[in-house]
Amino acid sequence: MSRVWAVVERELRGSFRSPVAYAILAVYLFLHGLFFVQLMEEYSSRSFQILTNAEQVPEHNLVDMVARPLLMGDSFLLLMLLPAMTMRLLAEEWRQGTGDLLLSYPLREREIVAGKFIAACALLFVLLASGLVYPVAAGLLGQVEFPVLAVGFLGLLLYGAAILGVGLFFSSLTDNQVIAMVGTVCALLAFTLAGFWSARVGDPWSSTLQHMSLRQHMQPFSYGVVRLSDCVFFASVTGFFLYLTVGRLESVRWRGRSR
Amino acid sequence: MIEVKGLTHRYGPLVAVEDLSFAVKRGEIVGLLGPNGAGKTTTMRAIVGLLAPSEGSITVGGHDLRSHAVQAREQLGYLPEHVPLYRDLTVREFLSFAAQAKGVPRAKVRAEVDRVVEACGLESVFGRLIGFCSRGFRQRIGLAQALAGDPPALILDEPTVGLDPAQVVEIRERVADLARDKAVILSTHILPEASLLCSRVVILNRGRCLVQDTPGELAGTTGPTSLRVACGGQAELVRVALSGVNGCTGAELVEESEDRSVWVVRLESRRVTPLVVSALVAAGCPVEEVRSERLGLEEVFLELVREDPAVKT
Repeated sequence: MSRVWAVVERELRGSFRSPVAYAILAVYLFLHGLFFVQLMEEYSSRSFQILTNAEQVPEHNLVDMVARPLLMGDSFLLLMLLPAMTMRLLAEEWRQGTGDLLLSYPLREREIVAGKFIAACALLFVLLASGLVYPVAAGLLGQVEFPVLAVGFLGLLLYGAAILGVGLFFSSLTDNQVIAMVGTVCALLAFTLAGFWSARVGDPWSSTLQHMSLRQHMQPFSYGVVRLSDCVFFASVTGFFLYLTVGRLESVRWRGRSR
Repeated sequence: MIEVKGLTHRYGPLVAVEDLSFAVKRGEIVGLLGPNGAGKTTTMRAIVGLLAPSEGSITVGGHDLRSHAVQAREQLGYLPEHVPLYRDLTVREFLSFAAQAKGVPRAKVRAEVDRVVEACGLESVFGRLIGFCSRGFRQRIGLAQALAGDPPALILDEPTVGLDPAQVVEIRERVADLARDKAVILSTHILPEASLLCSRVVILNRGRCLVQDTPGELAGTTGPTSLRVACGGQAELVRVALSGVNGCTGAELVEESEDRSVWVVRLESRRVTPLVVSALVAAGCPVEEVRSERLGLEEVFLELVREDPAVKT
């Protein structure tokens, strides 16, 4: 276990030495904040409308109008930003040759993969936690149901972890970070678009495709609902791709890496 | 400590290493010697478990590399070619990562890092980012990470490539010093290095082992060699004296002044050298300098590679 922590520690040190982690954090906080401001503005203008003629405005609370769209907006942001975070995890090791070093140490493949994944999850946690500043601030001023926010946060973590798993796998395939990122984004988009296509095909497929969409499984969390099926879905996507990554590392060790 | 048996590795149709066997004991430095592309790096990568050999078996400290890979790798320290390092870590951070990854318990990591830093002379760059360290320091950092965890076997892939002469000497000294109680395999294409450092040399060419022996034995037993001799006295006198030496196959006058001449003398073997000197002295020609024209091992090596039937085809 201490070997896994060694990998985690090295990974985190590396990420915070390079500008990439900060850049991603900055972009996230900027877009997330922009989105938040827009939602709040809409909320306050709606509040004025209520003051003038109350009956015409149905649902009106911070959770429905700000927290939920913010969570779903975040899920879209993560789709784009997390692949930039995962692309270097293994591709950079291959490119620099440090992967040889890593594989020559008495680390098991699964220890390397676990270490990298845990480090990426820690970054994801920092990212999401710093983004909580806005809704928490809003909650202090107005009425936000914090349990809903907490469930949404949990949902984004699970959803993000699944993305990290996919990203880690693509990063293990190539020593080119751009290819790793593009591959990850394409795979994730395919997952997401599966939900849109589901309407076009007949039944057994339509529901299957719908279930494949990552964001589809994120939705209930944003309502403050934790469903076992969604948790299992995210956990199995994550587990499946981590398993593939371990397999890939084993193949790198035994067959050499084809570029 | 390290045992390689019948190692064969193919990259597709290309045979990189063919049926190579050797063993390294503790306290021994074995040099893998050969021109570029001879299979040195492939052999070393197979030993540290970065490549599965197509055939053959490798055991390190009694652990088979296939069935007990992690235990086998625990016995190894590896310095890869070109020394890849994490440029965005400081020397201290990197070395403590290496120690931890090799299973040094957390409480002992600091002491272990101090030990390898001292052994490799890294005190002055301890807190510096590796990316800002010079080539010579990086090589030492590479050596330090290989030493972390105190593995009983070291695999060093061209440890002195790209260093300036002073650094080369320094790294050689460190390796020789560290290797006293370890099994070391090092690869090089610099022959004097092998003859200086290694207790045994495995000469590879095109993936095949041409010969394995001690450098002294290799240089001594084989083939003709030549000497450069500078001595006083008349040139004619020297020529007569040299022609009387048994085992001297020819002498060529290179430089001549009134009372001094320089000769290149061809000998059947290195062992004839003392006969040449005593013959010259007996003839009344004071010997000023005797120098081996080429380094023995180099000569042997070139000859072996030239004689290798694989090269001609």
